[in-house]
Amino acid sequence: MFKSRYTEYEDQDETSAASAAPTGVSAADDTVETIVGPSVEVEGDFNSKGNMVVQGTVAGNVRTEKNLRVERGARILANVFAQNAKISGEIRGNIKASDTLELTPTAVVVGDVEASTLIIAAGAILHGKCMMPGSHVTDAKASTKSSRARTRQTGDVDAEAAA
Amino acid sequence: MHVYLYDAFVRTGPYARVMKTIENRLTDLELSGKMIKLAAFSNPRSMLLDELRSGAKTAIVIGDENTFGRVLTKCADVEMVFGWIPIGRDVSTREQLDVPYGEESCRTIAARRVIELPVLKVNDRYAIALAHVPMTRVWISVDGKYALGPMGESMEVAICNLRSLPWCEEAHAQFMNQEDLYVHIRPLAAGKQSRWRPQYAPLTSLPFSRMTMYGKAPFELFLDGQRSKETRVTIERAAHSIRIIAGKNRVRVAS
Repeated sequence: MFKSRYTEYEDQDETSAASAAPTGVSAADDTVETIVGPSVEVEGDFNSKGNMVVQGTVAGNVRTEKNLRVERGARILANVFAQNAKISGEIRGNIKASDTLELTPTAVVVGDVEASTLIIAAGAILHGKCMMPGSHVTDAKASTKSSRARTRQTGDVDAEAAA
Repeated sequence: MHVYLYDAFVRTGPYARVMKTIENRLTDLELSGKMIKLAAFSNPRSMLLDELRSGAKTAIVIGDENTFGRVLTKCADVEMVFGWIPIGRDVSTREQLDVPYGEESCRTIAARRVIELPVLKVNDRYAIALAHVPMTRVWISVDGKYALGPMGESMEVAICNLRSLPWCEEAHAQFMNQEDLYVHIRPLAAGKQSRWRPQYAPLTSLPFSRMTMYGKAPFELFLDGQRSKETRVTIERAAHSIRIIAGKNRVRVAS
């Protein structure tokens, strides 16, 4: 029973690595190092250097330097930081993925998300803002404000010249 | 110089004959030394410290896993090389150390291939093979950062070093070469349980450098087969490692 479960993890890892971690993740990095199973609840900040699978409940920040997989039925009640994250469970907090964030059809996210690459499957629920670092699209409000300021400045300069 | 610590049962019944052949073999191999009987209330640590003062360098335990565990849980920090001549019913750890059963193990002792094994420090005791807490309601605090406990009634906990339990064998094989120690947790599945065939939830496996286990009621703890009742246990990797005589094909553990 357990054998099949672990082989299943490895298989899933390979597939998730292919989909969720397109760049910079070698096959050797795919091994799961931390598993929080169902029927277990964790309280406190949960830090890991390796890949992580969450199937239970975590009430605290989850931070990993590598890949994170939140399985269906799992709950995280705080912020999440990871390199790549594949979410199939529920997260009530902000998510920050330095590379890829994937929300599968069963994902429920109540919070802001930030990722370089964002994949949202049909059926996923997201209540929050999306941010993508590195994109050079300026905010509409900010651009109007800056153009107004520019007009004012040029107006002042013209007035000074006229005087 | 060698010191032999033997369990009382090896002089009785079917083992008495095996013990005689072992003694003859040790004499043939010029490995004879002082034989000390481990009685029920004798303290192996004080015995070995006395022998260390009088120049003994190697302590050989003759007996089953329980005898081996009894000596090592108390004496892992004694500056001696430890060996094991397995006799008895439960001698399963010998496979990990690649030590043959009974008389044949004298050859391994004579070869004296000494390896260093990492040791688990559990409060003021040691474990080289396994620390196990059977199904009970406990909470675990890992590295002082987070705590975890069962959602259901209870959970079983194992910290494997040299040996594992059947339910965490796969996970132990996966994580045994990692730098950190790993705790494997098997909770009872949520919902109604059958009295005869309990249903378990999938395992949780977490790395740690220091963890504390605590419960409201005292819980059972098995250290290399040695049973005790505890209310609070701190487990970490001991600063020193133990030197053990092992066979060629021993199981390698990351130190």
